[in-house]
Amino acid sequence: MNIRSFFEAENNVKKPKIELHCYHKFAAAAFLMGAFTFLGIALINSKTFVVLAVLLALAAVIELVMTVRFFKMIKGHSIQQEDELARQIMYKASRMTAGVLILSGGIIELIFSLTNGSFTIDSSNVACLLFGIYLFAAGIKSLFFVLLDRVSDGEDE
Amino acid sequence: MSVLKTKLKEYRAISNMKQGELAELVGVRRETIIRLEKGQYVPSLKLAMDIASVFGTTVEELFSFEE
Repeated sequence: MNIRSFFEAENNVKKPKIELHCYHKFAAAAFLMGAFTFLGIALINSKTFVVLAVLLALAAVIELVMTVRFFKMIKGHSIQQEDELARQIMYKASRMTAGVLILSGGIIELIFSLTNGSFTIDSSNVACLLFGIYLFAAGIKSLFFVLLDRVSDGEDE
Repeated sequence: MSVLKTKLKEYRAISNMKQGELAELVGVRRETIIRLEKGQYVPSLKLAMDIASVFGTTVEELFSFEE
């Protein structure tokens, strides 16, 4: 008996693939929801507690449902690999994401200086803030990929 | 500026091949084949040669650039 058979599925049939475009649609929504959750956690304080707690609880429920649906969707499937065009589009999407991050940082600074707003960044929320920004960047990148990779309906065949 | 022209659609029609089938044969996505046919994407040499070999023709026959 081959020991590898314990760890590998007996699968002579080619596994169907989740299209890359479809995967990135889901990924964009999931990453952006995660980003707003973690940014919300970073911003929460005694003044904003009630409102943010309700919103974060709602977001957590939606994210849980999305996670279950995602794993149900990919069960038994593999995700389509990037081809040369997808790599080019992803590179373009990355550059556009960098632009969006710079722009959004500038807009946030403007808003804060106009409204005299601010929030404290300390050891309690810096990790959430950084992770939230990472998720935001990943979500925007997936979103740009989906937008740049669109083809018109009815083009098949 | 040069524009890519292809005879991909004609060759697919002759071979009775769908875009998805061709995409799978050459290891790319269907979206790539769609953009190739519309001349919106310039393929790599390897991809062009793979597509040409699927149809039993040459790269020059399938793809050309026009001013």
